[in-house]
Amino acid sequence: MDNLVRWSIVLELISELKKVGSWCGETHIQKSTFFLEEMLDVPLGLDFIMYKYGPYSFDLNDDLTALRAYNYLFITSQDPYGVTYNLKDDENKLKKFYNKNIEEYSKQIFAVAEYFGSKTVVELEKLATAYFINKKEGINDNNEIAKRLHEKKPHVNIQDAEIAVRELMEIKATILN
Amino acid sequence: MAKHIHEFRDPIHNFIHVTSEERNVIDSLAFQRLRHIHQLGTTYLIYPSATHKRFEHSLGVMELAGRVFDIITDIENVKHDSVRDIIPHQNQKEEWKRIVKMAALLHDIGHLPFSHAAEEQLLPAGYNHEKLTIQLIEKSDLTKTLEDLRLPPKLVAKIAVGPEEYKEDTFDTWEALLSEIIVGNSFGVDRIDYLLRDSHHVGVAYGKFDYYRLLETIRILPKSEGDGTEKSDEPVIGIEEGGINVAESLLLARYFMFSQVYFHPIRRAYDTHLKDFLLNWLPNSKFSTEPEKHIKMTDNEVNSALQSCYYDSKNTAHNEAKRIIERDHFKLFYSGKDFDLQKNPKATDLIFEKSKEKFGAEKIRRDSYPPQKAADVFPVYLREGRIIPSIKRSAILSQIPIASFDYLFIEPSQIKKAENWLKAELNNILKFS
Repeated sequence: MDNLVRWSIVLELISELKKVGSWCGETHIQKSTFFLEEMLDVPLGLDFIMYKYGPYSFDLNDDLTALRAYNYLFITSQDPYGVTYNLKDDENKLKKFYNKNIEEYSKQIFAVAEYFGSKTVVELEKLATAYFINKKEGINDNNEIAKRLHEKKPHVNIQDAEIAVRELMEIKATILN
Repeated sequence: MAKHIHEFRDPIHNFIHVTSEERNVIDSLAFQRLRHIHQLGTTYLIYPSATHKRFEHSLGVMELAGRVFDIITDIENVKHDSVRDIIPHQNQKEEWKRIVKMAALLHDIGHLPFSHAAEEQLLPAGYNHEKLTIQLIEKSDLTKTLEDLRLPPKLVAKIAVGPEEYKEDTFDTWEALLSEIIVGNSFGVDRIDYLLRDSHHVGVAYGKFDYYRLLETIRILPKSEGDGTEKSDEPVIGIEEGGINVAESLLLARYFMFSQVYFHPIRRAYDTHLKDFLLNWLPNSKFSTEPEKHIKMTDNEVNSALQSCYYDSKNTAHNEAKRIIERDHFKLFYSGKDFDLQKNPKATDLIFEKSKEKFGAEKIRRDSYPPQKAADVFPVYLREGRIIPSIKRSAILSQIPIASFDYLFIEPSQIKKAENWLKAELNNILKFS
């Protein structure tokens, strides 16, 4: 996918996440974009790897940097803690060039915002890691996914991992139906 | 009695200390090759004293990696409970330090001649210098040297290039942190050394900063990114509050070095000519990825070829050699502007295409470096014990521009025509969709 098209989709996703009250820190954007690409099959062309606390794309980190450099996004620090990404008025200028592409994926963008936009950072780390294991490692059994999640991320205890996998599978079933 | 610690004199760190086992690796052909790879490529054609090599930079990165490792694993410097479990026990620390220092030493051994950035065109698909680095560490004569020293090549390679480039395996949190010591965006020692070393050799003052102070304040801290109800304890490299001003000067130094030195338009023009020369001169227009051939290919071989092609007017690479040797480089006629991109996000693409139509593709070149790897967000440990994001503590950090460029060059005889053409046509081109 062309960089500018991908950037306009990422801006639209941030805009929708904001509408449902997301803090929109980098983790929120990273994990939501991961679901958009991997669960909703929007072909953004981003490469997600399993990083310290779940799926992460260095390419998306560069995209966010570029969107800041070109004045479509800016960051602020808000109490009680954390850096949040904010849209500048100029973001509409980019989106208007790629309106058709945004419309093509608007259902998927809404779905991600609806189901993941209100999750906390800690919840998103667990859900996204579980989905990475499910999709990239091809493991379908919930108990096995939870076990792998705990193995990969020992700071997530097995009970929390099991709860996260159950929730993920419910969301997946709802979204994909 | 035989010495086990040896010293190199160094203009940046005064002395660089190496163990006998590190010296074994330094003496390998793969590492000695770095004595013949210019750290800044063709920059010496503009800044004559920028002739330093990857060899001394790699030694410097190893020296700093060892110092940072000692500081961040010192239990006195652990500021948060979530970090305590990550730090290895005392008896394992020395092993990890050997590994991270070796990874730092070898992080650049895959670089092409002149540290050339046009890897996509000069290497087969799927290759870059990081992949060559991995290959040299894991599958060359160097591999045996590392194994003999009980240094696991795969782990050394992983930490040397980091999770962004090492695709064959995942990183656990500790491995990811160790690679962050070397290649991290904010306080990676690769960056610390090259800014200091490059500014010293180029002869500019703005790359310098008080790195002694910075190193003393580097800590592993939880990222502390959250939403008011829950926050992530993901460990990353941050600093204590006392280092915030030197962190600001590091990021300013980075910005100035990129905009004044690394992105100097004439240097970039020479890079495009060197790329064109290499595409003509190399067999199949590609560098070899075989370790034995890679080791034999240095700036010396390329410089020698430049000379012989220059004096052989029938050689297919003659014209590009002539451009470099006679200093007849292309001239900058447009560089991407924010206000043009606001009018049309494809502004530079459109000007590039239109100028090729107008003047002929052979007379136009493009070179660019998109904005990437922002380094202004990291956790800061305050004196009273709270951990906050850097941009909350510093009003300067998020205001430092993110360096990038997008240059269009034209054959020198056409520069005036191109400038006049662009002045007349720019508004029309930007309307084009």
